[in-house]
Amino acid sequence: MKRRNFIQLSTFATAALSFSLLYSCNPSSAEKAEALPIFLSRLFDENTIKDTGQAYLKKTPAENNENRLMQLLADNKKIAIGEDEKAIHEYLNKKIKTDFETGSTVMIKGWVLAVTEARQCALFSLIKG
Amino acid sequence: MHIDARELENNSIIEGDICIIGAGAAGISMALEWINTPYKVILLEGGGFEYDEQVQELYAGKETGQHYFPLKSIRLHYFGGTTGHWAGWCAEFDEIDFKKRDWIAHSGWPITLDDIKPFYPRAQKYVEVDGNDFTAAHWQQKDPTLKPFPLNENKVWSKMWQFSPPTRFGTKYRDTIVNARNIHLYTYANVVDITADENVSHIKEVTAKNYAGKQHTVRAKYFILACCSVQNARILLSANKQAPKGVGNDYDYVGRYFMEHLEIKTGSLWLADPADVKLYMMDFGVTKARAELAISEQMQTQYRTLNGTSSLSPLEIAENQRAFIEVWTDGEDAMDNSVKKLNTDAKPVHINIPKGFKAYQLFTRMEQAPNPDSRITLDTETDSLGMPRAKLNWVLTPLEKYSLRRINTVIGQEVGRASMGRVKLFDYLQNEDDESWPSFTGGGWHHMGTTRMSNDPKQGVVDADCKIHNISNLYVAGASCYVTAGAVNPTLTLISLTIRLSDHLKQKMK
Repeated sequence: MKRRNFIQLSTFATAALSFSLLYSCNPSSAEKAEALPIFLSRLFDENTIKDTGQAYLKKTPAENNENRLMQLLADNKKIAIGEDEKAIHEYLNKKIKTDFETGSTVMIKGWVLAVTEARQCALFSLIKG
Repeated sequence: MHIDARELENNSIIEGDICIIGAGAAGISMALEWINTPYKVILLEGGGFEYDEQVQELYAGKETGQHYFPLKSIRLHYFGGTTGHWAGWCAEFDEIDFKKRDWIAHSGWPITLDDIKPFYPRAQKYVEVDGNDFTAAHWQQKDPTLKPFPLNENKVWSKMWQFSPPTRFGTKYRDTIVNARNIHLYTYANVVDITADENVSHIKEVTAKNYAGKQHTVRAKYFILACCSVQNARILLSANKQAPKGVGNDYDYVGRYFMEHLEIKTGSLWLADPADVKLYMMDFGVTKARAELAISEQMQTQYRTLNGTSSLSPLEIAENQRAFIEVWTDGEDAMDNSVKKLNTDAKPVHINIPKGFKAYQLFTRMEQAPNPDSRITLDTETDSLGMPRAKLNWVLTPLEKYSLRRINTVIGQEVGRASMGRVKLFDYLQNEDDESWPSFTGGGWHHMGTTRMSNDPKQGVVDADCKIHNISNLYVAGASCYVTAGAVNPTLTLISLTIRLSDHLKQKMK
């Protein structure tokens, strides 16, 4: 049976695991794709994601901070994740679905986006500078 | 029986049991309901059986307010009326359309959908639409490849349309009407005046004229005004020799609350494969039924929006397509010429659609809020028969723009939740503070609301039976009685309402 090590991660750790790993100095394209908002990364290219992120930050300047965004993405909760990033992505995807379901959306350049994926774009734009 | 009123001796007196003024969808449907009854029915049509420029010109008018199509060509003035260029789109109203909605001023009918629903099947026969079932499930049962999107129907649902061939009432029912023993069709009989008793509580006769210089008098027990929202108001307002403000206009409601459906491109829907869209696609003249995305009563209530639906068209084709209002020109075959121009101008455009996605334009049709300032009044200029021309002041409000934005946002939220795709709204909808309208803002050539229905004579023109308040024998048939416009095209419902009126009158005649 495959060994599964579940660890408890804090908000910050959750996001940090995802983003620090995948946005390291020279992340591979596969790593990059994993780090991006999964659905949007199929629809948007890298520049569009950055532009979307910048537009979101312009709209919500209080979130213009990597740590703040990571906290918000993890929702200040402790979550159980597996040994890889899959669980983080599953968590974020679920959060995106919940955003859409509860109407927690934002319009960025006309796109109706979940706040979570808009924040992912924002974080991406900050990290990629 | 058919009589050309130009050939009658001048000042003829025409008498019958009921007089239907106008031979369009409402007037012809009403007449068909009375065939083989013991009653003599007079059906008055201002034009002949074919397009006649001199008659059509009688419809010319002026427009102010929101840019609109020319009044002269948007309605057709001959036997069959505007069904002569009708596209044939049929759908039922929703329950919410009849309700008082506290976020929409002047909403709320004195009747409900249940009062109209029994008449839909009879109306469908006249427009040659087969199925009585307007649910997606029904159509999926007929064709399993028609699959609704997996959306939460409490939020976004698939509203079905059915398509008439389209039925041209002028050709389809001409022989039936002309050969009917008790239907007396008079062509070239334009009603230009109404004469009542001294209290203006009972109509005695109407005056009909034509450009041959003939004038006739028509007397009946009951009169049914079935011209269209613009002409119904124009006739009532012009009949001011006994009632200075016009017949039925004691409280200044005639002509007010003119409504149209906004029909406008609102955004794009980017669907990830595999996306089964067959149910939502349309091949004009081939497709029998299709769905549009509608937001639920619950969502309309929660977000305080108007009612509307969004259709899907492949984005590469729709992107360059101009709006009807941008290409419309006056004249015979205005509709056909406009359609040709649209198709000629529309060159498919290359759109960078990521692999694994399909993109569709969202085109929203939506009711406008009933608004007393959106209205028909009389111009000082008269037509060749001496009738004041109509003036239209079409007015939209911020609620329309808010609702367009919100309806498509809700659709975007629901397709996002279902992980089906994402929605992008057009530029003109992105800034919530921007109340302006783009040049391609148009209507669906649906005229409604100028003789609105209310049980209170101080709040409307006709009562729940479509009788003009305080006048014992004058009724209105058609969409001018609508209190609100509903999300969908008015034809099927206006015919149903007319059949309902017809049954009511038959009871009264007994």
